[in-house]
Amino acid sequence: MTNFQSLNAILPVVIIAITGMIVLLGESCLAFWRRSASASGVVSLLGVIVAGMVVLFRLDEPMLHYKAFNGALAVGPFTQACTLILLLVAGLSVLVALTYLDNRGLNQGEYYALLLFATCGAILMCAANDLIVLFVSVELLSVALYILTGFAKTDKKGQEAALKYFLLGSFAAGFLLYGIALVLGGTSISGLVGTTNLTTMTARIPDTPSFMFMAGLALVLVGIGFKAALAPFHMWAPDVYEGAPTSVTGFMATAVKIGAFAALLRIISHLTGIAHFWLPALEVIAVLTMVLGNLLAVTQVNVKRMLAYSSVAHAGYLLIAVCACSSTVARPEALQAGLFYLLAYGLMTMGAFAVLVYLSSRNHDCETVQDIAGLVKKEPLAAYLMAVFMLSLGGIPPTMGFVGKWLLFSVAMQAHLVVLAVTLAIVSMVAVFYYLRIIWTMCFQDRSAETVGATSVAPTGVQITILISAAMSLVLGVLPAIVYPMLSAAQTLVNHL
Amino acid sequence: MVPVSYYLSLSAVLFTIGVVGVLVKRNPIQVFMCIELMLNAANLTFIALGRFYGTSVGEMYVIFALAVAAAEVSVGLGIIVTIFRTRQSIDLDETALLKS
Amino acid sequence: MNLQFAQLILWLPLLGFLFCSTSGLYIKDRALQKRLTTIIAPGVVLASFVIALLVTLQFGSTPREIIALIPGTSIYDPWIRFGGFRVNFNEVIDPLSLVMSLVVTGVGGLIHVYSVGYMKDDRDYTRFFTYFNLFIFMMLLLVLGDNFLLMFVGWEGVGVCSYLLISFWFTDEANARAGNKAFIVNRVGDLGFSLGIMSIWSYFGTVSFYTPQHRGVLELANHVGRVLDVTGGVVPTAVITMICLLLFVGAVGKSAQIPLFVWLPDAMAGPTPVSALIHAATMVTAGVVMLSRCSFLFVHSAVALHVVAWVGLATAFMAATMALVQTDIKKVLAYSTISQLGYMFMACGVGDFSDGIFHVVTHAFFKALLFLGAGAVIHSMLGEQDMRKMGGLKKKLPATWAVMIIATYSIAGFPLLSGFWSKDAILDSASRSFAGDGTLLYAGGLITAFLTAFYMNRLMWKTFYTQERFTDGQLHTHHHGDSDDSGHGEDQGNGHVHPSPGTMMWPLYILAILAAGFGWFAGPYGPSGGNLLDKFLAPSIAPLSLGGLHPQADLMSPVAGYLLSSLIAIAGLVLAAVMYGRRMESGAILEPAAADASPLVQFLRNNWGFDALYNLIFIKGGGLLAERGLMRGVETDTINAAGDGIAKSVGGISHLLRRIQTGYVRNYALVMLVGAVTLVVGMLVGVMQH
Repeated sequence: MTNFQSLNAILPVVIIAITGMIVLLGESCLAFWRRSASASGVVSLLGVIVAGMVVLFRLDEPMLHYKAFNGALAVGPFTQACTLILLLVAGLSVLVALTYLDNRGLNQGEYYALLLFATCGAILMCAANDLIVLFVSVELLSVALYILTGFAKTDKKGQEAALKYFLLGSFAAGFLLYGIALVLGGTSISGLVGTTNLTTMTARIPDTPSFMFMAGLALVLVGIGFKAALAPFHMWAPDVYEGAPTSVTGFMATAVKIGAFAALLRIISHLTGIAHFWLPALEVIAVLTMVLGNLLAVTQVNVKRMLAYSSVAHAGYLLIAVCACSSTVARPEALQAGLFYLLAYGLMTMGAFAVLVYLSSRNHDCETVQDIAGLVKKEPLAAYLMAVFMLSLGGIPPTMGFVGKWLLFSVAMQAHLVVLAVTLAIVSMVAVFYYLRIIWTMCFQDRSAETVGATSVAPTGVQITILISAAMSLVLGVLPAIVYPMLSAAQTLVNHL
Repeated sequence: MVPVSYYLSLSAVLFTIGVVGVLVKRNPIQVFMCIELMLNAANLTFIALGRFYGTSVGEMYVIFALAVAAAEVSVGLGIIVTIFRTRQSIDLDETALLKS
Repeated sequence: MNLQFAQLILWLPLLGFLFCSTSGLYIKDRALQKRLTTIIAPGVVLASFVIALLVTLQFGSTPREIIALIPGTSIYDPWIRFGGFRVNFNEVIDPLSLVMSLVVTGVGGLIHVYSVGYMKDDRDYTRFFTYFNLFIFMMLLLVLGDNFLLMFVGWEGVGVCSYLLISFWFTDEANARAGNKAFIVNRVGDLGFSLGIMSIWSYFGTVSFYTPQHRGVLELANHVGRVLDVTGGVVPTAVITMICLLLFVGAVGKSAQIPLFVWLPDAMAGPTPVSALIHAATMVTAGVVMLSRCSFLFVHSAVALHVVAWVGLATAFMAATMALVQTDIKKVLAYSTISQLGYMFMACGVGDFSDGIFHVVTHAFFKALLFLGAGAVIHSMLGEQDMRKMGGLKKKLPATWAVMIIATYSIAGFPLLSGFWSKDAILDSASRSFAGDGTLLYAGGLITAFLTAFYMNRLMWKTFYTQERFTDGQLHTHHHGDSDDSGHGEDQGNGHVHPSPGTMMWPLYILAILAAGFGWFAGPYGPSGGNLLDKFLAPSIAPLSLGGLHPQADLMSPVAGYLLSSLIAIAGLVLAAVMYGRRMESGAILEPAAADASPLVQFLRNNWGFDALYNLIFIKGGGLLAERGLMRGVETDTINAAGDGIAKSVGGISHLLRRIQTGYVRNYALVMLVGAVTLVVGMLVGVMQH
């Protein structure tokens, strides 16, 4: 592939990146642009839509089965599926931000530019077929998010969250980079030059890998596990989710997780040959993550924090799909289940945060349980849709969350990961408790003085987000078959990577 | 010629020093310097391996890593400066509004 | 015949739900909204009933019909297709699902109509019907679904609706707690059920009941003496036993059997129509329906059947003894429900699934009638539920008395009423149990029948015959589960007993006719040769011989059996009448002080020590765990207020874990480092061992 063909293959990323730069330039150079409150947002949204169109139109193009940039990026159906999910999430985040920034008086175009750059990073994470590219894309995503986390410059909580995220994130990046270095050394066998390219690596790994390679792999897992908020690398998540502006939290909870899990799925799919070495470790992490996330979520009174722990728990569920990739028989289904769950998770989490944004006002972020007590009387529609998201997160039919959880169950059984399946069943029971508590608080508790109502001047953006997320959660919960073509295509590609 | 294992051991030691530094320092700038140490330990490994293989692969990786680290520094210092503006202090232990 | 329109049975209640839940958005006029709800909510359920009836009447000789529910998919085109995992969104129209649909929509429709009167002053009138319609939809999904997954969807759905409806009057803390308790106990059952389904999928390779290619679970199990999986291999009996027992755990939770029965009496905190519909007529019988649906699996495992039979008998007997000492009118009925469910399980356990369903149907009639009657009593007494403060209501509420006496005699097994036929059929099958323990099961069943007759007549005497133990005109509005803050007190609550409105009474008359006559209609001496229900259900139910099991010979001739059970029932009724007839003033056999002192009464009131056991495990254990430092100094949040043991201990662990989250970057980095080191070392050790 020539460089031009390679660039053409990652056209969506290029479009997003250029849109981001346009927004930056427009914001700083054009007076009329700066005067309009929503110009940057609208342009960003257009960019995302165009990129999404490009992906959609190219779904069947055979050319895309190749790798771009000398095998550094894989641009096939798996990447396309992840890209679509990410673009959906990014588009919804832009819509949410249109309302939120206005509410909080933070209208600055950089927000959208950073959001778009972070999206580029996340998409490249899904496509990275070389560990060093993975590192660069992780950092592209992270650096943008550090700034977004502290976007409210005068908010103490926001600053603290940004600092924590930055320090711990760089710490994790250190592990990731050192891990990559060790992998580079560990893959050098009988005089061959070591490699970090996943495809070359697969052919290179002997039945019993070297110490250096395994240590490197472990450190790479730490680095990605941090991004995916897997226990015990999850500790940043609750603090940062709580402190960050709600619209950023929504994006962070979804996009980062999608990118991290796509990367994890890709790496792990290349390592099935030595599955018995890493599988026990991942199983332990999965169980730990599921249990810790759910247990900690139970007693939270801050909804954002509760959702943070719930996102940790969901990372544990998703890790089941990763573990199931160890079995060659179950791998195609595991990839599909993982992608489906990522989509479901993205939609329901984004929806839940969007409801919180919808209820926030200039001086007050809607975050605690008291804020939403008796909400059903004040904002019935918002309350009902929040209930949909909670039911979906809890895996209660007829929502996407339910179907996704069943798919995870079934791949766990197929890959003979009985412990994981049983753990999933048990913690799901706990999980329903705290999700239903939110519903209970909204529907059955009496309204308190703090109960908020929507006061937004321009709530259209967030309303659209909530409606899209809720509609998709329900429709795909009843008719999951709609997305199967996309998912099954993704599964076939990774097979002959 | 110095064997590659010497470089690898040195970088492992540097990495460990960096990790320990992150754990014991209270000043975010010092913590960040320790993180840089970790990154540079990785860079040293890349260079050593590249020389050992006799290719430029190591140097290429280091350039990526340096670019990324530079971006991180600027963002990190920016965050620390805004914190200093509102709190007049950057002590890490004083920043704990968010917990449990 | 084209049965496609049978889809509507399922969809109509959903439409009702959608209307009720959204009407607040586009109908601003509250009065209009209420009027529309009054028409639509019961209307859709009754319409469903009419369709179910038409389908049943037209149901031909084919054993079953499978209908794809979602337009665009067909029965060959699965709902979830996922590698080897395929699930259809199909409904199965067969005798079992039709009978259950008729019960759910029929009794459900009547209770909807009743609720129109019962709830008319409630400020959350529309919300109540929203949940009610959703419940009917979920219950129909449970009985009509053509695979375990859809059944599970319905199973979970009815659970959520029940939780919402129990906590409907949320101002009462007891209600919120009862909702929690029901919720937590049911989780245990659901866990068993979901593990059962997972095992079915992993051993059979499918979760459908029936498929067009005859590869459904039930079809695979339909071989004499062996069960095949989807590829033709034989599934071992031990696996079948495990699957059946896991499914049974689910049934035990939902149907309130030992040891998970504790939630049902507490669930009576909800509004009375809820108790009648969910906790008597439909949801709690879901366990029996599921067992009958899986009869093809159960007959292959004598062990599982045996467990089912004995758990059923033990529950029937134990709950009947507990009912003897209850003073709350709804609690008596709750324990009686548990006891009757025990009978149904016993029927399933001896392989007589169709008579289990027979009892489900008759029980739905007379128990719904009893609850609605009790509701009318409570309504008239302005929310009083304590029988010690009632008495003499026969004069004041003659119509209620008349329907309740029919229901009481029916449940007691008075000759020729519905309960008599279904209970006798169960006792007869129990006496011929394949395992040779028929005499014991029969004797246990008879004793329970005697107790049933006694405690039911006790309820009647305490409420209707003995002298008044309240002063008319000085009744207080009770904020028990059964009153609300805007309603009864204002417009008719001048302290007098008042009869119920017509919409509340005529559903009772219809149920009374069914409670009296349905048993004859479906029983052995009914029209067209008798045993109509058995014959109709035959295609859905596996015969015992499929698993190589055979019933033993009769203990006695059928006529002798009828005579004996009639005698027992009449003896129970008479004994209660005689004992309470002597105590017309107090309406109690023992004086309150004597009752409190009696160890037997205390033992029964404490649920045979189950309360203490649960206290120990869930409340004390959890509470101690929670209090021993875990939650000291922590703000009381919603969970602590809910105060339930399991919740508390989970909450306690949660609080303990939260302490790790100190908020300091260094600690987080340390935890990360420890994790990373463990991971690296673990992986290296793994490599080293090779």
